[in-house]
Amino acid sequence: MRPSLGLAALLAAASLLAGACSSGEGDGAGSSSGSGEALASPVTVEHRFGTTTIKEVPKRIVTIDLQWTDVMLAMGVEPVAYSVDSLMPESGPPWQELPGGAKALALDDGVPVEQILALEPDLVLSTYSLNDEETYSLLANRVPTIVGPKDETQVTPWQDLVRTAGKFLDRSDRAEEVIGSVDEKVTAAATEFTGLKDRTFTLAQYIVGEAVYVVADEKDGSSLLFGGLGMRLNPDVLAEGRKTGDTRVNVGTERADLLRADLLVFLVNGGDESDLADIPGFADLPGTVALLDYPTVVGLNTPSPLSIPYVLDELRPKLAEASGGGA
Amino acid sequence: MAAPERTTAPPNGRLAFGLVTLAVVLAVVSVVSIAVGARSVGLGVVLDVVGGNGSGSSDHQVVAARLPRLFAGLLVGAGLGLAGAVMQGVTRNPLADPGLFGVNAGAAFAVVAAISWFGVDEPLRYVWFAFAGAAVVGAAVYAVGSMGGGGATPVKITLAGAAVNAVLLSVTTAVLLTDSATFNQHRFWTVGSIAGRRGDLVAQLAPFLLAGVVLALVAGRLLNVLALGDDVARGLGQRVGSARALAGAATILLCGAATAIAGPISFVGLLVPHVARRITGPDQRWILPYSMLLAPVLLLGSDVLGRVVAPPGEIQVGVVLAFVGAPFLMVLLRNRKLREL
Repeated sequence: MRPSLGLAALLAAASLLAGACSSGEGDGAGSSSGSGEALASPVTVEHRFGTTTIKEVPKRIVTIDLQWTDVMLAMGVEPVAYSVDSLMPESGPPWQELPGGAKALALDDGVPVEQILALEPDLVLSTYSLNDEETYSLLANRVPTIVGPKDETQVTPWQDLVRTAGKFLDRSDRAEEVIGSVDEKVTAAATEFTGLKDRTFTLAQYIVGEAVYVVADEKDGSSLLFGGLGMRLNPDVLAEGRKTGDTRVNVGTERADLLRADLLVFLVNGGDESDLADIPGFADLPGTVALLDYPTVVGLNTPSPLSIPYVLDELRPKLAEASGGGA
Repeated sequence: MAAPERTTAPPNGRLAFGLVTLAVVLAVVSVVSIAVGARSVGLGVVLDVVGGNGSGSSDHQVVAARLPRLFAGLLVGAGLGLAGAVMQGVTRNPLADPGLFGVNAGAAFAVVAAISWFGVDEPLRYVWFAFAGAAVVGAAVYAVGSMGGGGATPVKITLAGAAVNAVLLSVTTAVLLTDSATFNQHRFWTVGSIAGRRGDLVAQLAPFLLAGVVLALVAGRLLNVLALGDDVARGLGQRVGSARALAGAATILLCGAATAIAGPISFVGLLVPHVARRITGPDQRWILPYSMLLAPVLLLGSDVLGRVVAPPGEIQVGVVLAFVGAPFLMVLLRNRKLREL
């Protein structure tokens, strides 16, 4: 009983900032619903629990998890309901402006299937919170439902989500506009801080009293911003990722050496700065250390076209420092 | 392992020698727990830190941080081992465990209440809640178990403990499910661990543990008399009620403080007294010190194992013990008639 409660807690913690969604494309047969206008060609999305085909432009979309909520808002679509991350400030993520009419869904007791179905949605979108197949089936039997990719610790690049949305909303032009305008900001930052080129970055969180989790995959959705700035992952971290096969590697508090980077972006999850004393050597890390708050790190970890510009602004002083300081 | 059941104890000389040997083993395990961890450091660094001339390099800091962890392991281990032995002795129940008095559940509930209702967020402060919760619940279980005719009989205490445990677990779960901010903070406390426990926290609770150790060791003779059954014990002039109360107080001090330091840790209190009894025979005056030394060997050994099995991560000792403890317990159950306690 006790160990299993602990393990459940551990998994909840691990999935808190991990998560994913992938999107495929192409033609195929599958489910469909609604009475919206028909798509010229049906959009098929591959995900963890199978494939889902969308044949008509959805009008009533429920977004579970931040990435999809943001993608919909960036595409100018108001979801009928969206999930709330209870660790975010009460006003929501600082970069989000939610339409008043949308219903906020609490996920504290799992995905509220009945509440969602009562809204008669014609599409349900999730990245990582809809993570058990039974709940998925309850929804998917009634509504086309899209969840994250097979590797549940991986985060899908937001660009892929926007392109998928562009397809099923029949607004691929708008999708490219959204991507283009965000990419422009990233490119501008890369030009401004040319010193970042080939410097190393690490994105990590310390779940207090438990473990440090370090992103160890350059292709993960959370790494792409740093890649766009010309930065690289610490090779030692990459090696650990390959060894363990995890996108987010569980690192003991004694291994501050794996946090060494020219730019360390770090979250103390479930505590405050004083908890950094649990990590011997943290204070002596050589590079620039950006200790950020929960929303900003979530905006980096599960990035969206709305969170990236916000995060870039928040990181700006630290980017300048890492770009200037010799390393 | 098919050793015959011991009906007579080995001679005292041999038991004393065994105890000294065990102390040496514990010393060796302690050294290993300073030297071995998620980060490998040179022996020179370890000697520097132990010798008190750490240079402050990050390797030195890593080793220095293992010292409070070692002390936590020694105290928690000794506390749980002794508490388990006392519990099994006083209740004459071979499956008695510190959890039986509702101590873990009480501590967990108090911590959740402290975080959720009173906004306490400093580990240094909410350990007091843990300790108080353990003590209050332990005392309440004992009081409920004493009601009615016959005083605090083992069966009544066991039943009262099970009932209180169930109630507290439900309430704790209800609070956690409806308050995810508390869940986030309390999470580290749901798996027992001796990592990241700071020196000042351990030092703060050490006096309670030491007082519990003294009480428990003194209680050995009383437990021997209680083992003869209440009627015989009374016939020998033993005041059964006060003997049980003394043992109960020792248990609450030991488990309350241990749980406040490490969170809920299972198996140690259950398992170690059985191993001790196998070596020493039925005399509580030997079972208790053997349990006190064996338990930290098991706890620290499991902790070291948890540091090296899943690099670069660590596994909490509470989880390791669940894996190590279960098969160990099965071997014991197969080899020993538990009811002959």
